[in-house]
Amino acid sequence: MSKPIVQLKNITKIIRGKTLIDNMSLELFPGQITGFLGPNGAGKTTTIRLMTGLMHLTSGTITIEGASIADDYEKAIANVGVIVENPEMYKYMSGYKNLLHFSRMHNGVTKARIDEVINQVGLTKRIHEKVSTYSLGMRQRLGLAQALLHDPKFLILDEPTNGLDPAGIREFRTYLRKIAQENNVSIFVSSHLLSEIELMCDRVVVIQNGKLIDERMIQSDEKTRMQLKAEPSGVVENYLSSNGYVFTLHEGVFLLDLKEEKVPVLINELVAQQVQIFAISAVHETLEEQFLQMTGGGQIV
Amino acid sequence: MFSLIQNEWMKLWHKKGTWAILGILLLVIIGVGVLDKVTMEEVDTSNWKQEQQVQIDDANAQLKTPDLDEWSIQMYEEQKAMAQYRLDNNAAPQVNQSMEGNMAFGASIMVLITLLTVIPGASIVSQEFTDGTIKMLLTRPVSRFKILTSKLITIFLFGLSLIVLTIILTTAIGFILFGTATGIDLTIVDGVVQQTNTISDVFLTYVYSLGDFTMSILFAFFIGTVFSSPSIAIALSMLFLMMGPMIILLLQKYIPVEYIWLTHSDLTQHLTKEFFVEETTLSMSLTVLVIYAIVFLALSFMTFIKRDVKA
Repeated sequence: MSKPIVQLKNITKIIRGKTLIDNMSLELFPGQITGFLGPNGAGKTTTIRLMTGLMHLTSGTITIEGASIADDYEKAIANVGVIVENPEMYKYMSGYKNLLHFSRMHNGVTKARIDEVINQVGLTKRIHEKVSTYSLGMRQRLGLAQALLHDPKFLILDEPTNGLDPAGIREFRTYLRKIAQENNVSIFVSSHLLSEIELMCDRVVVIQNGKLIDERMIQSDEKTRMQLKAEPSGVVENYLSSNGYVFTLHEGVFLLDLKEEKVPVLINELVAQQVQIFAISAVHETLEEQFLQMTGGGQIV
Repeated sequence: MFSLIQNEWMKLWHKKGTWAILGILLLVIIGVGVLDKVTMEEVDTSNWKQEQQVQIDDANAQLKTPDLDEWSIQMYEEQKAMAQYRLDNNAAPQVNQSMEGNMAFGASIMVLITLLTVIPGASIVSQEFTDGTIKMLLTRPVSRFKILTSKLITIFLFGLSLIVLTIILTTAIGFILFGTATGIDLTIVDGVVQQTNTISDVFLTYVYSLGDFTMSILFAFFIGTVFSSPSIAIALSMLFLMMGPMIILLLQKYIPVEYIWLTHSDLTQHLTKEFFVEETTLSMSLTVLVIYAIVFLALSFMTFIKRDVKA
């Protein structure tokens, strides 16, 4: 694995005697999307505030590209794009003026770059209207735009899909994947939508009571179990067993071990045998089930 | 730093409140000028020499009254001296409103300008907290020190712009409506009659008013930064600005008020020589103000740089 871009070493945050983050360590890597999960009050937002320098550490260190957030803030944060909770913009100004405002705080963000980002997030038509007229989804897009302006190597997103419609969420997910892969950006996403995290992330870390309690990789593009509903079931059963598929039959639904890329082959074969296929879909133990198991069923939101 | 000030300036002028402030100031300046013009009665000044002679005769007659008290004697002596001076130097009195008079009016509304600058001064930091935009502003490769400095400079630029605008407008409106002064005002300093120079008086009033202006803005800025609530900050700064002398008079019995900035912030006391507590020197006043200014600034910067942002 490549060198981590972000390192949290034994970080602790105590406010008025209350330990919010307890000796936590975490590493984030370029090109990887890491999901950040935890029940209410687990310390997700506090961790993000510590990583962005909005709050000061009680002890421990956070380094981004080798620069310490505490000692070398301006250098460390120069590589970071942030959306903390809802992207609160200056509502009395246009989206464009907001971006212009933030671009002046970074080195080397040109007007052409602003236009490019506006185009990327799909706000070209309404960018010169006041932010107060924007829908929540449009504000999210503008929030993403301001986070991407300076081409950051590390992106922190707190509840980024909040307020986006399904098409928007999908587009957003694809876009994040793209910049992670093509620009080798490290992305850290906190969300309460577990299915969202599951679809978006390569890796998930779970926090509870200010401590990391689990960390695992997700292999979302290699779903190995499929469920199949097709009739007549005798023909299907016959075909599957004679072609060496591992499967079970339960109430007219077949569960079989099958890689995603093999699905079209199976469908073609079955259709050729006059089988009627009603549904085929991937089966996996959802992250939600795992998450509830880990955190003891606490509130997630 | 320039681009940060540019940012703050842009945000300031995108708020409706800023335009309302400008509107109020324009209304007062233009309104008072027009009102003065409408209500002004032109006084014929062609026979001013006879009038001055009447003044002298009147004073002489009054001075012959037996058992006249000391204060009245002084008053009639001064009346006589001034009239005599006018006759000797061919110096007609200024009776009608003039450009110079309108300029003096401009200097007299420095309190209003201060009040109007205190409003954005109190909210320029605190509103970022109540709007939640502070987290967008701070997660940039710019130190908190620079961000706060840019906000402070912007507010002073705003206030100074209002002052410059007032000077230009009162002069222009005064000139258009009334023309330059046709007469001369006199004062008596240490028993000697002197011609007053209105322009330099106006200039001095502006300069001495900067004491209250600066202290009120620094105080509002400090409260706005520490409490991060625009309404509390505006209310407190207004209270101190409007009721400053009253607060001092109330506190006078209990604490040594000469060490409170409110006693000194109105530097025009040194111009008029009318002190609302007791006479102090200009250097004493300036020392107290500088110390308080440093305290307000230090507290503003310390809280802003140290604080954990939860907004």
